[in-house]
Amino acid sequence: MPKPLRADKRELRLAPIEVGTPTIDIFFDEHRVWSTRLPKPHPRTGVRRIPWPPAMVPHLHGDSTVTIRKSATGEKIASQDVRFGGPGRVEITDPRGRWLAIDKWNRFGPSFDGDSSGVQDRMLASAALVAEQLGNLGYPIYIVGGTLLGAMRSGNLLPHDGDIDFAFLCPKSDPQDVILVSFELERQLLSLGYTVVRHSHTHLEIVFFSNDGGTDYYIDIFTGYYSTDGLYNQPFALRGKLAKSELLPTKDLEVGGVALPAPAVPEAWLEFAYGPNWRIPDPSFQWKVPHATQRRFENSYGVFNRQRVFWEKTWQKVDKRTQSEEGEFDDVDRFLRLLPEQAFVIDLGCGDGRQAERIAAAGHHVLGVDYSFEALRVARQTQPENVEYRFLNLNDRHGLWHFALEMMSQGRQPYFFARNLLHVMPQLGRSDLFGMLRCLLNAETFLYATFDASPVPRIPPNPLTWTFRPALFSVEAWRWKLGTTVLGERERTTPFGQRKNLTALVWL
Amino acid sequence: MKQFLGNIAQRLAPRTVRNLRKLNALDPQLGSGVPQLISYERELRALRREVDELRRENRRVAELYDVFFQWAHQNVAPPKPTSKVDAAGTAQRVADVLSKDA
Repeated sequence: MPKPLRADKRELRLAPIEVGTPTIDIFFDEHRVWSTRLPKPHPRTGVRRIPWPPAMVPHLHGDSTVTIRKSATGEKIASQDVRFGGPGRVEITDPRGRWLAIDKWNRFGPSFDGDSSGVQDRMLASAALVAEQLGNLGYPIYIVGGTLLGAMRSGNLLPHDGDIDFAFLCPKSDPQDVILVSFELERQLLSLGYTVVRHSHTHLEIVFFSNDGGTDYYIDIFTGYYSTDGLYNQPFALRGKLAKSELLPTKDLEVGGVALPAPAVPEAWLEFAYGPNWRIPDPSFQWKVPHATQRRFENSYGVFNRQRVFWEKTWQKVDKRTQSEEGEFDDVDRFLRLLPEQAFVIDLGCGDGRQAERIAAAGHHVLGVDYSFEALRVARQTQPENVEYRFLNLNDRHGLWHFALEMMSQGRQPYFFARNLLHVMPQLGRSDLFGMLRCLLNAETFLYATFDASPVPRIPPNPLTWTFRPALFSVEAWRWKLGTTVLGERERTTPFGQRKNLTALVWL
Repeated sequence: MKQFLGNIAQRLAPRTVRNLRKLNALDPQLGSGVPQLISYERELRALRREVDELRRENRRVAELYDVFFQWAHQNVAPPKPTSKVDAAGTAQRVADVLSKDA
């Protein structure tokens, strides 16, 4: 009898059977790891070939019982013991042992169905508190997205979801005014003691931490508003007709036993966002944002979170700072020779802080900044007295200006150090960074930077494969009237091939 | 003669004749229409770029506005009152004068 399914490291092949469902969940040893739409069967053989998403391939070692279920009903379609090669069972978990699942962005992340730590309860309790606090401050807040979908389908959070989504209705129409409301909301959340990450000028994320300093869970708050053409906008994806009476006044809906405010007509919001078939579960759902809407939102409100998830995932795998490699501190030692005694140094993109602490060991005061909480968690494990670490997103110009003003108001004159940072930044972020340097550098201070200047095959989601060409370096710096000097170059071995690594100064 | 040849051609190659008649009936402006379409397309792209740029500039203005006023709010002392007379008192005094005039 032929096997109902076969799998190897490249793909899963489903035998010709009548499935009758567009979306399936794929389980490894009863842990859901991926949901996807079924491809069409081969016209002759009837076999359906489902290639694994690239993020999954490195995890496919060992044995596992692979099971396929219908997303809508959970009914089993096929199950088979599979050997991918290598010892043990396939385990797709984070360092804390939580099973991960491919999310709607095709990346691995913890989901509720892989958790046994009570994160849902903690998250719902926080959500209720945030809703109450923002309601008291006058923000008409309501659950949206997957949270509303789960509440309406089952009165619970969706098993494949990983966060809580709120939106509030902003009374303004002009994008500038909408942005100012979002800034005010951010300040109010900060004054309530929350850690807030700005993804765009209409999208804030409140981050909650576990005891070890890593990210435990987060709550998204989107800004909704009516533009002057009467359409409801809820960046980053939604723009269309939705009556105000369908949003307000909000009404309470039970989510996992906790009452959370929801739109006045939840069905209307869900149909607006997901279409008329919103009742049929589809964990593989992805937003299809019209190009014009994407242009509107991205240009008006920015996108500041680029590659942050990549770095969070990268550092999430690091429990403690690893042993330093030979030659790793050559740049720092060269940089130290250029500094006066007891200088103040800002280490941009400090990662696990090993460079910052080397600088501090030479008697300087160092501020290490990074936009990965997981990197900062590792860095803080060995933090000496003369080193500070803080979150700073170099892609967020508004945040950068606040940071620059803070430095100026403290009268601190920083030197800057950026090891292998510039080539992993998007061009817009780099431009804003040079703008900040223009404000903070003086005739004596400078940025000491190293970056990869020769290309390797580019993998867009992986910034380690990006390049910053020397010609562009001087052009981008000169836009802010900053001078550049290349001090030297050397060959560097990377997982993606040999690269030319430049050492350079940026000066006023 | 022209009609005669036309009838023969119609019998020998009806599809070709039909196509030739269609081509003959086409708008003579069509030839200049394609470059015009390309020019509109270019103009639309340029306009899109300009709209994107304006939106980004709007964003920068909002960011600067917020940074400046936050900084001013925290660093600039509130303006000193120039007079000890309060505005409510002034309004009352004016109202009294007007009511007497009436």
